[in-house]
Amino acid sequence: MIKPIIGFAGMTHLGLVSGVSAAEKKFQVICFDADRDKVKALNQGILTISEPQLNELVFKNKSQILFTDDVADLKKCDIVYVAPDVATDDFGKSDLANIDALLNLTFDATRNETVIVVLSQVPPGFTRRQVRTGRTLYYQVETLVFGRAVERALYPERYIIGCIDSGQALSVTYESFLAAYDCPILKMRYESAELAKISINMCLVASVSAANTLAELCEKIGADWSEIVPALKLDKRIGQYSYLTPGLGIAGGNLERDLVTIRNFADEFGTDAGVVKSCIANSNHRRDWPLRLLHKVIIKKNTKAIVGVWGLAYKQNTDSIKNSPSIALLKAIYNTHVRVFDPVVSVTAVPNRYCHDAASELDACMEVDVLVIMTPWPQFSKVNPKEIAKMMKGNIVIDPFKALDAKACRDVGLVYFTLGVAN
Amino acid sequence: MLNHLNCASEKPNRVVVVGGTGFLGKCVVKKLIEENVKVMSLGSKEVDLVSQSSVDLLGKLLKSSDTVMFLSAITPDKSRDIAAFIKNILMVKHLCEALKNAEVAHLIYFSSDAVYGQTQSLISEDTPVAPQDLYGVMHLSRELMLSELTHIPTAILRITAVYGAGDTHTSYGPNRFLKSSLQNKRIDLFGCGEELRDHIYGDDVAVIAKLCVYMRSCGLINVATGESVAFKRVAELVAGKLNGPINIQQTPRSNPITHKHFDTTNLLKAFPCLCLNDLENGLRLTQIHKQEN
Repeated sequence: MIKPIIGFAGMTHLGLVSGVSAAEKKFQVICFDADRDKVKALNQGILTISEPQLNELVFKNKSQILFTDDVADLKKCDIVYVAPDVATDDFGKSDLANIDALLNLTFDATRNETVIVVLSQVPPGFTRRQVRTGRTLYYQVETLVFGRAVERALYPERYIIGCIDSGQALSVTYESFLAAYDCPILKMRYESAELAKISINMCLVASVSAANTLAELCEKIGADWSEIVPALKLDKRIGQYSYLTPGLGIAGGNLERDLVTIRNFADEFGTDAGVVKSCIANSNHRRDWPLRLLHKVIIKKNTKAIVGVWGLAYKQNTDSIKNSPSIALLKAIYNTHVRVFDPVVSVTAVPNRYCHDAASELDACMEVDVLVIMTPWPQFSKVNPKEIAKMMKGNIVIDPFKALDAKACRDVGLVYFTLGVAN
Repeated sequence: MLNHLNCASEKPNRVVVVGGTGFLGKCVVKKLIEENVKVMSLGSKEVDLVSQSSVDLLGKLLKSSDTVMFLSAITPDKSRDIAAFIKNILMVKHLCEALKNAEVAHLIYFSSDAVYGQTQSLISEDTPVAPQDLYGVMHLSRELMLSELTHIPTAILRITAVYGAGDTHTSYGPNRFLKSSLQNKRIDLFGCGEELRDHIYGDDVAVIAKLCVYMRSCGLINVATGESVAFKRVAELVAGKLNGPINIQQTPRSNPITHKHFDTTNLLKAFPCLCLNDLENGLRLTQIHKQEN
């Protein structure tokens, strides 16, 4: 069988990573985006997103990838994934106008036998409304994880495929493409697949919320959450891969959207959403942990304190600042002098009028009263606490994610705070 | 959450403190005068808010450029009965009628954390209100009545337990402990005094109110320190501030233990440089002021 040509409409984080991973699996790939500047940049090897391995794979597979702004190029494709960003409004509700438009454009630009796959996350009920007579349409659950997107696209745990009828066989072309990834394929009706995606995220949110709730308690009663976690992971009902690392609430935008989707559906259908609402409240509460601590340990005593901040991205290995706790913190201390360093995100994103763009981690520590490490970039853990202590005027380090070694910090006289354990 | 209508701190033309002769009112008036703000303090002698005649009187006194702070209330230590409730509601009814005809630049209402009741241990502005007594219902009703004044930017301050030198109330906590220590060398605790509560120093409430005035803030904010302390500890701190031994007496408990904490994140966001006194310091200041007076 001739290998199908795979198209991707929408050069978003999801679309680009998925397209590049298909090329890595030796498929010819056509990547379409109507944004001419974006396509031009991609053809020059300039990526607007940051993901481990992505640059290398684009370069390695450039002969197999066509970046184009001409939608007619999709006519050559046997399968086209539609993967625009689905924006959310201020209330976390999805705006489906983009995906509606791109899906229509894709249907019109492709051959009747071309398989169309909705890859962006959509609310339950969306895909069935898009069905066109004589066309084949699937919804494929994406499980993109920022910072691990390439790895997860190349080696998926499973594929969840939403179909018009779960009893119907998958298109042979589509099945042959999915087979290249060598993972279980779970076929179900559209609505189940759409809700499966949200269900995965809800389970993650529940784990994170439980971890955050208990970690906060640990901080107050003298327990250490990091000592408890291994015990939980050895419990088969919880599992070694469970999300039990405490954090600053839920960020990134995707999980928040799912919480809002479930809450809205529950409100509409009269089902109980108490757990969801509690998760949202807990997320907001924990996001502001560094702010409360900052006030307690320094600003309350010294309103002119200078704060060093490492990290702006909502998590490591990404340039996304959507719902970033760091940005929330900097917004809340908008009139405090801050020295900020992030390896990827520009300080122009900082909503603070007294922000110094630090050139390095240590530059961000210069003469500061307190250092707050808001994103656990791997490179941060390589900075020697002795050097940090030397550069700082004060001696307080707030390190929610344990980017630094607590003992090493304390050994050089730093007062160290982290999540899940009393200082 | 509060929103500031002023981009930068700005002194108001005049602040009319309705209820300026009570404990908290005095703290606020003192703070504003220290800041050289023009203040008109009104007590029940100047304006009897329970009377319908207060509508016209307020109408004549208020200017469109005024900031109005409303603190008047019959507090629970004076009366918790239905008559007090009705009078408290009447006061705000008359204020609302006056403000319907006389526009003012800004309104700040001093509400209470009693609107939350006792069912929640961690309270933020998102906590659903569930008043469990007429006093709580009264404050909530007043908030709703004032929210009808949509043409006036309004800030609602839900204040937790206040203490300070001039406090005439004898509610359970720092004030009563100080009073009974001075009078009887004794503090009576309910049970072992395990309950945790947030106590805020009166002058700190005045600082927050002043910041609201200067920033022309509107919205809702809880006014608390974010640090809850057990009554036993409060008693020990009070006893430690006084000369001579104080007998801290435990008494049989008649109610189950409840705790109350405040998540003050929104307050910190509204006023990033806010420095509030902790209980120990607040008690020290209270003691100093008591001795001065």
